[in-house]
Amino acid sequence: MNNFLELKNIIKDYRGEAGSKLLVLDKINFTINEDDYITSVLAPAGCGKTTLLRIISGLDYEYEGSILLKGNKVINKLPFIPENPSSFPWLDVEGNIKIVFRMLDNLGSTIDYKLQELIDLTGLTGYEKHFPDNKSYGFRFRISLARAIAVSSQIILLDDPFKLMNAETKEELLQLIKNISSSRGLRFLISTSNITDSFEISNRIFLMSNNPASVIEDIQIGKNSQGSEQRKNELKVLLEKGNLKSLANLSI
Amino acid sequence: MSDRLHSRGKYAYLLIAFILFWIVLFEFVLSANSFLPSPYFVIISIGDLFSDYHILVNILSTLTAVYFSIIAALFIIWVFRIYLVNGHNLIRHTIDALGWFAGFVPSIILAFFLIYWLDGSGYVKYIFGSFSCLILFFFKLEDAAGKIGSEYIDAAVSLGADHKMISGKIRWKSVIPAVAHYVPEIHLYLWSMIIIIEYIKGGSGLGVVFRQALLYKDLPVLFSTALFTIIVILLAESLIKYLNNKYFARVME
Repeated sequence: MNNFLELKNIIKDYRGEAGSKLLVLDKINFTINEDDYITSVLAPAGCGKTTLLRIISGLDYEYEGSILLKGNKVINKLPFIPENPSSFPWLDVEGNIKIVFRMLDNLGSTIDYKLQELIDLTGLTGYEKHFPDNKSYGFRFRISLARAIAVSSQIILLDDPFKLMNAETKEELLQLIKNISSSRGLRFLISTSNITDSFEISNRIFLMSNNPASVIEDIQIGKNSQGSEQRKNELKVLLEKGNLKSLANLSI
Repeated sequence: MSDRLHSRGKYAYLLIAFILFWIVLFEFVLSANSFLPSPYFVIISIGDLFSDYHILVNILSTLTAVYFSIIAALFIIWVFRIYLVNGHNLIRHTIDALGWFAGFVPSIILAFFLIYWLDGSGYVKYIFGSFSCLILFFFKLEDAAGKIGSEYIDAAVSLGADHKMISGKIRWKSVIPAVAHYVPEIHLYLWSMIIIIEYIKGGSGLGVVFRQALLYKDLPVLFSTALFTIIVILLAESLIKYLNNKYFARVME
């Protein structure tokens, strides 16, 4: 099995006043394989999921440990879609995607996708001239997704993408991510605190504990669907009974 | 939107009520008084405004000072936009110092200082207008730049945007609506300050018309000049708001 993304002993702490240290990530180790197309980091709210994704993306470089992409150190930044909508309100859908083409052009990178192709792929056909302000989270997420795909990275990082969406939009976007992943061979690393979402979308789940965050379980869903269903229900029961203190703040 | 229309409607009713009250009271009941002129004399005085008070030349002088100040300040901001939106240390400290200074010294004091320092110069209102406008825009810009959501920057950096692109295409673009929406406020402030400067200093401008009308105790002209000024300001204000809504309405959430 080829390793796609490896995290080795990632440690992150924040320094407070008077030299005090707050350990947020404690020796995070996990490996995403080539065939793990959708991977979730399932962890309680406020445990450091965003910090972890920002580190993987290359936005935060003050940490210990190493991150390898296909065995090599990550040089370029990986596309990261934050929890809050990040599409630019002063640009329409086309403008929001074209600005990424300009960024790639500045970097001298090749542009593999055509504008219309990205619009069609993310379900924005017919909305090319629409502006994202006053639109739903789902709409803005689609724009962010189109921009992230435009970069032609092999993995896209999504930070708690479904947290602010209603059930219907969430269902549509879960399906959209699955479709894009299977049709384009794109990988997604998703952080979430919702057990149902993570089990519904992922091939693999890394369950993390709180204070400080560390990986406590590696759940491979594709391998044994019956086992994973059982594990999902176990987690739900444990959470409902309040027996998972380190996982408090997870949602069902 | 409906709230805004409702409040506009309320102001329109108030204005109509005031005009009716004024016509009835000062045209028919208190036609001879020293508080408000009768509507008839105000209408007659419009002719004097053009012939004796040269209202067109004077209003052009005030208009030029107001809009030159706004455009000059916006141009300077545009030239230094990259440094301003990135919170360059020297600029940030300068703005903070000016803010501290402005907390103690009202801008009218600065206007008096300039009038007596540059006595006789016709540029006082332009210098004061541009400078005060620039300072106010600086404050607004610094405030708006501090409120740009980190998610916009994070997403852009992760997509490969370099420092130049982040400053010019994201930070600057995201503060433009805040600056544009501040223009109507500055516009009103400038009108009042420049009229005051013209009143004190003399030369040309609407302030000079007010001064002459007061000097000659010409109440109808004073009243018609005030009405004229209010109408011009309201029209300009509406135009600015229309342009704002058309071109700079899209703000970050």
